[in-house]
Amino acid sequence: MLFRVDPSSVVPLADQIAASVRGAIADGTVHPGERLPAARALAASLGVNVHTVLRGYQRLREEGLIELRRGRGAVVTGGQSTGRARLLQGVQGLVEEARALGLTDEEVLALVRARLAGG
Amino acid sequence: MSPVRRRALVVTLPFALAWAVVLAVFTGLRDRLPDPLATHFGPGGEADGFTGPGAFLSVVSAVLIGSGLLIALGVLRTRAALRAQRPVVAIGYGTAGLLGYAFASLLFANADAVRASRVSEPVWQLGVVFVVACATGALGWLIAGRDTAPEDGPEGSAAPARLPLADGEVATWTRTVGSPVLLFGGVGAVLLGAVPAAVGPGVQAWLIVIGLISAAPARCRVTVDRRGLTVAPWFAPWPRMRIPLARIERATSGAASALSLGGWGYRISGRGSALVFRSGDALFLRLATGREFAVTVDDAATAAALLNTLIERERGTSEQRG
Repeated sequence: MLFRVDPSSVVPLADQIAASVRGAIADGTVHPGERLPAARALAASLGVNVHTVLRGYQRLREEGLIELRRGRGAVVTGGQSTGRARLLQGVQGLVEEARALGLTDEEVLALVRARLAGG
Repeated sequence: MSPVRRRALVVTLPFALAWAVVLAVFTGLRDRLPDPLATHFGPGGEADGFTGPGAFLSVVSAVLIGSGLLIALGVLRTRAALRAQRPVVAIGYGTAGLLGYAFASLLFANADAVRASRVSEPVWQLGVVFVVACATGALGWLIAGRDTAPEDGPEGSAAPARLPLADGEVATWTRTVGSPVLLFGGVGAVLLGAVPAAVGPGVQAWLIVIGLISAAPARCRVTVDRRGLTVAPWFAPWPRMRIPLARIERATSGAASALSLGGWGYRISGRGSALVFRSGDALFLRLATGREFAVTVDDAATAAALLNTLIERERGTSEQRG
């Protein structure tokens, strides 16, 4: 899989790392059960702090895309992780478009709620 | 015809032909053959081994069809063109010619003999068998050479692929690759060495060592980043193998069969060296020394594109500095 980080971007490095993994899971480059590179090795490879990588991995764990286990590293969760990654990408797109239109968080949530209620 | 079907046909054809020839000779000579047939000959050419005609036919069929399937499986496991696998195809053709001729000449030697023990096969037939095998092998070599890949091989593409990066953007490509052959071979050797310990005669330590050495790199992580290409076991950063960007001229990707790279594991040949885990997608590096390095890994196209981009970027900055 391909990790890309751009230090000049406004997006935090940890989020860029998480987005790389999310994209790879979504497009099937990384399969459920596959192990991500060790945080220390990836940090050295990208030239970023190991805590930055761990923050990115932590975000992915919160999203339910990977499992972090002591001694076993980061493993892509089985089951629906591919679909879940696509969904999260959709959410990301939604947020970005809403921000670009200048919508407040409440307005975005209201839109999503209305859509959910409508089935 | 799809390329895969055509290749299957090309590879299995000599075995089918040899089988048909032996069957035809057998049918033609049927009334003139003794029972049992003389099927093995001593150093002086006199018969010293005998087989019934039915068993002879079964053995002929099993050997020809079996080796045909074996070679076909080996060749078709990759999507590579036959040109890349010329030695295997040539060996297949040679084997088919050798077996077909040997079986047929055996039948002719048996023809009209009242008793199989009187049958003799002159030793010079061995020379003829060898010549036939070489001739059919050469034919296989020529035929395989006509089957080229739709896209040119690892050396072909004129403009190496690139992966566009923004200024200052850092990219790392990483992927693990496993080798069932190394794993099963290694575990098998360890078991072979350890099982005698349970039975009694003692542990074969050297077998266990060989087994561990071949099983340890059965899964590795291949990484391409600003430092170059790194291959390390998946579970630890060491022992690792690293080729710095400065030592790489350019990178390409393509399909390769393990046999065409010289077998499984770390291979050294006249052209360069290779880390071979399995047949299939592989990354090829042209090194500054003029030698080649290959590593079999999935999605090698992305790895090659990133390497070429990073090489270009590094050359650019070093020129500015220099």
